[in-house]
Amino acid sequence: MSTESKPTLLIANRGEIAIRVARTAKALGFSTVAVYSDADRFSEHVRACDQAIYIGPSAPNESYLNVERVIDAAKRTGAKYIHPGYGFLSERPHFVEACEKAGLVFVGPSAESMRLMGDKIQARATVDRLNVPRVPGSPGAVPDSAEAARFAAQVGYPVLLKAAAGGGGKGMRRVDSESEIHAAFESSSREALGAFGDGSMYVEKLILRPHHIEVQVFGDGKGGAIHLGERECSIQRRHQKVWEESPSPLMERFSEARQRMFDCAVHVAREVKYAGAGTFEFVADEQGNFYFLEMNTRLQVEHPVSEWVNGVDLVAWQILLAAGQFSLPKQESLTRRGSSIEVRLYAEDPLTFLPAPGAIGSVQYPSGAFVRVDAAVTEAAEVPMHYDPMIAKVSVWGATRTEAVNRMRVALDETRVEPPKKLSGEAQGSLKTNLSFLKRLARHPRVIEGDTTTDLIASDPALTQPAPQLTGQEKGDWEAQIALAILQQVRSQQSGVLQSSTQQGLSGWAVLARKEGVRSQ
Amino acid sequence: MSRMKLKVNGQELDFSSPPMGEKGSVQVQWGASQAGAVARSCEISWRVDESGIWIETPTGVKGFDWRREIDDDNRPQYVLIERNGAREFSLARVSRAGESEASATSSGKKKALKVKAQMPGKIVRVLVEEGQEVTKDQPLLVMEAMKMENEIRAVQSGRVQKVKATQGQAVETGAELLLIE
Repeated sequence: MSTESKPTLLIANRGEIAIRVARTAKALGFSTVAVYSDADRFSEHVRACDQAIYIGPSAPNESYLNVERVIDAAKRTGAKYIHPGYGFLSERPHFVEACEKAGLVFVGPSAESMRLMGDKIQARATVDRLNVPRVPGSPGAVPDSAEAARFAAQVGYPVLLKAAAGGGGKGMRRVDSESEIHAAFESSSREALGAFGDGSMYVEKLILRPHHIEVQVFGDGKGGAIHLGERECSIQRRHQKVWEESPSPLMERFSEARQRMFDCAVHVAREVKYAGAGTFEFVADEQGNFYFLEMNTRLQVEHPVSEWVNGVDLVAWQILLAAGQFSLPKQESLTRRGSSIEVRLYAEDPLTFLPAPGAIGSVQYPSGAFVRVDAAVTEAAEVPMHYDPMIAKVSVWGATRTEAVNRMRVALDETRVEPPKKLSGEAQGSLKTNLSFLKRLARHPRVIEGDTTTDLIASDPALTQPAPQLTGQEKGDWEAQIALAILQQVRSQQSGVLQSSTQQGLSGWAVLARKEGVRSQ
Repeated sequence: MSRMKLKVNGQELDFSSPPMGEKGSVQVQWGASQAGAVARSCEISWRVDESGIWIETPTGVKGFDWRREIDDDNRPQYVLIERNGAREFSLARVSRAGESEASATSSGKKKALKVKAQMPGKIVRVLVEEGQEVTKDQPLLVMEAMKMENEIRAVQSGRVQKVKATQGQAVETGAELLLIE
């Protein structure tokens, strides 16, 4: 391909997904364009692309969510294609239309099928027409808490309040009794209004001991669609996924129900003439009953586990489809092999799961056979506070699930993310990570067994307790004790030298001389 | 050089000389202070780096990242994280032998517990008043941060001594919101 004819793809996103898309696009012979905000001026996704265009201040509304600026960046660089990644503009039909109007090709579904399936209430109406099972829920958005209470009494507590426009757990509340419902409605509606500009809520019955199962589909936009198996993403904190796998340990026990789940997803995708990668989310109980929750009309964060077991590059499929160079494989030609697991490494407190972005001082990622890392940050840098605080995704493959869990355990033990530190060992900045939590998860008996429900984390306080004291009684503690004593001693001497020199205003040579025990004056 | 005795959480480590510099070797003896325990001794080499230390022992090389934290009584304590492993320790204290290692229980009267903001955000609602009795896990404040509303709950039962946060206030990480005694 000559340089003149090299097609250009703009990636309207940031962080690990922008880098992941750029890798595939470059491999396919595309020239790549990154966009960035003030906070991302030196972020790694900017360097991962052939060109990068500044699109505004750090606040998402003024940069990554600003349709005009993103489209303007595409026009300025001669980009023909726009890949939205996940989040930001990826599920906004008006953005798809703006792309079309500007003569650009949006890598993803049409605005029409996005409207049909992306809005939860619309999507429910669509799947109802196609007889896909659904959790008993309010037929539409409920206007106030009194209406919510009336509906909850009908289906029975516990119920879940959900933002009609929501996602990622924002504006979502479990309600166990009528006394709680009014306050819960008020606070989740306000949260939804702040996050999505739409405070409308709906109510549904809560399934106990639930599993989150989702089906990856891929459509050709002309009524053809296939599935790429299921993923189980039951391990969640704050209603957000943290450990995802394919296949689902639960659905492995219910292969007939699983096949029906695949059929439902593919049927709907064909019916709406879905184009590209999409995900049907279901909740399943422990008898294998499943209920449709929602469809995500984009690439998912956890798509690597489907890529591992199917041996395909989903982003390559998306781009080739947009470029008119893709023919959908036959369902029978795909075979899923082995088992894959992904974890999300976040800048957050491992005990409370509250976001804790900040500066990273040193970072080390795992490697080895069948280990993949999709990282936003690979060197000392800042995790900005303006965006989702994910640092990296670590995914592994194994011939069996046991092999995959074992491989993940080793991969996490290899991983390190540390804040920058003063000589005294005091951390500079606010960074914390969930790495210690992920390490515990990989060793948890229920995780090892594959007995994972969405309340796993809440049900075991040991997962979120502070690290134990160094007692000296455990085997191997002596090494840690000696290491700490030496480190503390060496560092306090060094900071002592530094401190006294700055106090007395000594030259660097004098400091060095003092450190080395030589007289220079 | 003279010997140096250091204590880690009360366990005495006897160094043949004070450890100095980014790299070095030293003879360490430990375990003698424990009743019935046999003292052990070995040669340790070390290399410190920007985030922690590597030590070579007769059974291999171990790495640890460390972090210094200050507790509510203003005393330093350390978090230690094993490299290439899963072991993690908190609340480790280092002192020179002979120095008194003040323990948490000896600190006399109970001080007011500070409830602090864990991250920057906005106070949406204050749910308690000064003088109010609260029980463990009772919601105290609602704070909005990273577009999520978070309830801040009491970690212990007690009486609200002071409310410093006000509704609508923007707070930084570490800002004191309430005092509970």
